[in-house]
Amino acid sequence: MGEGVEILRVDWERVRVGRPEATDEDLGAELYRRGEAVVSDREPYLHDGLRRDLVLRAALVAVHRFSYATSWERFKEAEAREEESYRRHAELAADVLPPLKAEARMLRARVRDLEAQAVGRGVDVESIEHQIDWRRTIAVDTPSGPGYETPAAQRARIREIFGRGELR
Amino acid sequence: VAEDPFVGFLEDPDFINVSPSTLTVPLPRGVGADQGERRYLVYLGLFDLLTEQLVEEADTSEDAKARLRDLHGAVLSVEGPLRFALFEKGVQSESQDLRSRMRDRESAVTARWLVPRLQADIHAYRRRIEALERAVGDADG
Repeated sequence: MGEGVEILRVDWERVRVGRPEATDEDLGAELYRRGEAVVSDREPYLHDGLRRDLVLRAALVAVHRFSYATSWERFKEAEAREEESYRRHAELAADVLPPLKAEARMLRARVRDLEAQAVGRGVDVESIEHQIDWRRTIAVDTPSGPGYETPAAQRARIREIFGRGELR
Repeated sequence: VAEDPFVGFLEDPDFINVSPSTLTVPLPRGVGADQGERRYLVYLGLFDLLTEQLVEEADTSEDAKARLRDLHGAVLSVEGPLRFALFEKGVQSESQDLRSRMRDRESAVTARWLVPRLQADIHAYRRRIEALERAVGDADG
C-alpha cells in the first residue's frame, strides 16, 4: 500500500457501510479491482447490460461531481478576486485620478493665462525659467463637444450631416 | 448496507450542495499514476459494488431490474446538468480570472505610472506658475 486517490467522503461512506468489516486498504483494493474488471468487460453483468451502463455512467457523474465539489472553493476565490480587482480599479478611477486631473487641468489653464499676461506685457516667456514641454505632459484638458446653443440648432446640424430632410 | 446508498447521489441538484470533504482511498502498489484514471476506476468499483448489493438484496430479479432502470434514468437526468454546471462554472471562473488580471494590470499602470506622472506634471506647473507670476509682477513694476 502507500498509493491512493482522493474521492468525496460522502461517496466513500456510501460503500463503507456495506463493508463494515473490511479495512480501508482492503476496500480500496477491492474497488480498484472491480473498476478494472468493469472497464475490461470481465465482469459478468445481468439484466442485458443495464447494470453495466448504470455503473459506467454513475462513475462518470461521480467524477464530475468530485470536480465540481472540489473546485467550488476555486470558483468562489475567482469571484472574490474579481470583486477585489474591481474595487481597487473603481477606487483609483473615482477617488484618486479625478482630483489629480482636475488640479492639473486648473494649473495648466493658469500657466497659459499667465503666459498670455506676460506676453501682453512684452515679456519673452521663452526666457522665463521652468518652461514646460507640453508634449511630455499628460493631456488632461477635456475636449469640449460641439456645444449647440439650442436643441433646434442641434437638430439642424444633424439634418445637415445625414441629409435626411426633416426630423420628426 | 444502508437503506439506499444512492440517496443523495442522484438528487438533482444535490451535486451543487455536496460536501467538498474528501478522503484518500488507499490503493495497492503499482496502480496507474494518473489520478483521474484512478478516481474513475475507484468510482466504477464503488458503483459496481453498490449495484451488486442492490441486485442481491432485491426480492426478485424483476424488482432488481426495475430499481436498476430507475437509477439508470436518474443518472441520465443528472449527467447533463452536472456536465453543464461544471463547464459553465469553469468557463465563468476562467473569465473572472482573466478580467481580474487585466483590471489589475490597468490599476497597476495607473498607480505606478499615471499617478506619479500627473504628480510630476503638477509640480512642474506650480514651479512655472511661480516663475511666471514673478515675471508678470516684475513687468508691472
